Amino acid sequence: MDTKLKKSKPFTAWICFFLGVSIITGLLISVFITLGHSRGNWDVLQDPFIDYRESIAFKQRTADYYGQLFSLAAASSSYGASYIDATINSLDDEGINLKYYAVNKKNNFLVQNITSKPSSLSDSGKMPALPAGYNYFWYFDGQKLREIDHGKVIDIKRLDSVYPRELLDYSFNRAPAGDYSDVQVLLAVRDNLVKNPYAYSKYYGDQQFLSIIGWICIGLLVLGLLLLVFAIINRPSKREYDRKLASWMGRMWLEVKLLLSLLFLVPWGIFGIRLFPGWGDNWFNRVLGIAWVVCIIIACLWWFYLILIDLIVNRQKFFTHNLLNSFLSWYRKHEKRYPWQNSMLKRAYMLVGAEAVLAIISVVFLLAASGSGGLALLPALLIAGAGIYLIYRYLKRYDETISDLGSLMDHIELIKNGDMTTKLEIAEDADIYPAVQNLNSIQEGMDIAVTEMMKSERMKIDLISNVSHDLKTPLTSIISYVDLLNKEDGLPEHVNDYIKILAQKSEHLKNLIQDLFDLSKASSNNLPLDMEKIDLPRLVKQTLADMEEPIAASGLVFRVNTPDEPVYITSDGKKLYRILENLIMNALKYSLAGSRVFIDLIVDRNEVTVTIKNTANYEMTFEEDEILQRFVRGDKSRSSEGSGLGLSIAQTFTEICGGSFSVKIDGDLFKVELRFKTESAN
Amino acid sequence: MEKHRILVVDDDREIVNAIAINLQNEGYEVLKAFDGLQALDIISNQNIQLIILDVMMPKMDGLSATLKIREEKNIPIIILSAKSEDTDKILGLSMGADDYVTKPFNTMELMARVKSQLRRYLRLGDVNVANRANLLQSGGLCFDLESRTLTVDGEPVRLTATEMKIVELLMRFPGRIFPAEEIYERVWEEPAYRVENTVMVHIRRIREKIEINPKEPKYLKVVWGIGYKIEKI
Repeated sequence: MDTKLKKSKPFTAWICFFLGVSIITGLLISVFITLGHSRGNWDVLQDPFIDYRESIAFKQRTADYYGQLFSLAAASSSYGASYIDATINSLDDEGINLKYYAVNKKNNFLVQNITSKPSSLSDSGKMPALPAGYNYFWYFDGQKLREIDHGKVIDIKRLDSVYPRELLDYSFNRAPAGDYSDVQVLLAVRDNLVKNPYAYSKYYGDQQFLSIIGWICIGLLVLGLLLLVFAIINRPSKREYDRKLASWMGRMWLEVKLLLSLLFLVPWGIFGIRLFPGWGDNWFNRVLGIAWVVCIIIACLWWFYLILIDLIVNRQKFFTHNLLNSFLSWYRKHEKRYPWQNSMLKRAYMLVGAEAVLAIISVVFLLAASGSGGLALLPALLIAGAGIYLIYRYLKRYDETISDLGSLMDHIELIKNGDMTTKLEIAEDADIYPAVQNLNSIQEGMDIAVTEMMKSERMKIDLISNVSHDLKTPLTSIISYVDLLNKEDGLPEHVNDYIKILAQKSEHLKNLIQDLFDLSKASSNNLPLDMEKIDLPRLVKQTLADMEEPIAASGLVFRVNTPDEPVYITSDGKKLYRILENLIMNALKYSLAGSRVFIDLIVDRNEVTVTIKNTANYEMTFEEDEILQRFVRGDKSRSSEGSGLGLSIAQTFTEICGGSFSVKIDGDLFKVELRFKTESAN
Repeated sequence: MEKHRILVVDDDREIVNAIAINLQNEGYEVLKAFDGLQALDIISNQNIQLIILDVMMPKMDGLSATLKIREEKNIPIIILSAKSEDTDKILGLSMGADDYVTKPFNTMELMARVKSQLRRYLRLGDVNVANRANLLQSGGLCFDLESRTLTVDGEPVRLTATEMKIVELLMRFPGRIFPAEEIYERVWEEPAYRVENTVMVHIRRIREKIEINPKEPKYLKVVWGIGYKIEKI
């Protein structure tokens, strides 16, 4: 109950606003019509609130009757009998409320309903005798018109009020100009107006109507003001309903609104005056006529009020929600059923077709316009406008699609460069929206895959770290106790040999674990780097000097060719040393005895290449990339020392240090190339 | 001479025993602990001259124990750990440890480090304060400008004249990196041409004399691709 009341509150407020405005506007319009009818005499508004005898309506009515009677008497010869009868009948309709007497001695015209002492009226200038109760009368004695109220004579010419004098002029004007000395006209109104049981007494009707209409108007005014005040107090609720109305209006096509507006305006503009049924004699007709006009005006008013709130609330939507746009959005939905390329082509064909049809219709209207005058020009222009609008919409859409395609391409580039998080946002009704959505979900999938991969890679690193720790602890004991055994005196010779083997192998195992650990860390990019500007030839020389002893012991000849001036690269010096150390150790291990090892450092533009060449002491039966795989050693017998990770470590370290690593095999020639980008000297 | 007491802490009893045997063979008295709390307990009750401490231990790990010990005592601590990365070493040393040995370790090397740390710890007061102005010092490395002698943890080192000049040059500017050419020109006083090898050979020899493990030098370092320096400690 409570909620229902709350729910209907906006409606109530709005209805109050509607009724209040309608009533007050209606009253104002009625007042203006009345004023217009009385030619701007504001006194007419007092009529309902004063004594009927004093009212302008009474005087107007009396003047009207008097004018009719006077013209009848003054120009009796020019009227037919039926007109005279009709006039007399209309006077007789008043019954006993009206006493009249009109005479024209020149042509013996006489009409009267005064039966007592007619003879006394024969004297010109004399007051006619009237029955009791008729104290108000108009009397023309052949010279002068007098208005007499209870014996008081009011010269009509001297009346301050403009209204009766003009009416009087009008009454006299209806009679032919001339000498009226033979004419005597008397019209008396009963003091107490009564209902005529046989006909409609206008005097009595006027009195009755005026006595109530004033109070009705005041009542309506008060009611209207109260409703308006209520609506003003509940402004927010009223506005809420305004928005609701606006949303209803918003569903209407612009064309329909325009047409309805035209329908509302045309009768007002063109037929408005004709629709007004006229200022009837009868109060009922009069009120009906005014109400009709008021209704038309108020209906127009509310229609334009609706248009206004529609405009305020819906703004551009007011204009964009039109037949053409609805058609276009329908078409867009329709074309989605086709493959993208088909719908794009079809759209272009549809545009050409529609333009052709519109052009033909436009030309037809233009031809018709030249025949029938300007009337057909408007539809021709409208259709041409619609055609231009269609082209505009097509081009706009085309432009949007092209720019969407551009951002799609940019986005693909972005994904290519590894951005997995930025999503491409695009309007939902865009032509390439499905493609963009698909791309976004591909990106999402890739993101998930990459994250998973990184997670598993991280787990692998953790595993390796833990495993290497767990391996190192028992190995520590092994090495320590082997060492203790080694120090033991008095052991048999063969036991000492065994201990020596144990010492060698545990040392080997230690190196293997460390290498494995380093390699795993490096290949998962978990090795911290310390990048510096490094002189590469110097580093090569330092490494060679550092390894002087094993080189000398190997009996190999090293041919080193490096430039004397510095060649700078940005890299991690320690890692580079490790790379070179590994490669040189490799060369020492696998070179043919007495052969030469060549180390060359060549700068080519902004690239520096370090080449290490040696002649193998065995036949290299493997592929170039096979040797780089982890744990692969040149000699399949695996008899020698080393983890088999040397080249893998060198390769991985080179790559994380920002270089490239390659191996070439040519017969017995084993060649390793390291490439780095050079830095400028400063 | 009174026996020095060394505390060995590791959760692996075999490792502790092996180290203990070696230390006893060298003539030290050994106390054993198998977790951090035990170690702290022993340290507060006993007079100890050196601690060998594992990192990964139950109850209290070696790094926390190091922090605790450093709150009160200045005795040398050698950390023993399976973690071999530079960052682990830097972390351990910054916690207050004096040395860092990775597992699996070489027994000889560990013994050498123990000796060196003890020497330094026990002879710290011997250095003549008045002579400080004539001393170049970096950690346990000490170069006397007057007598032109180099000591490592108090132990004199015999160097050739050239080696002595190189060490003096590098120790005058600890932390500064000298390219081979500059070292050559200032030590040999001749214009330098293709001297990398010559200088490097000398550096290596010096390293073998002053470093416990020349493969992992503590003082004299090669900055690969740039030059040589003595670490500022």
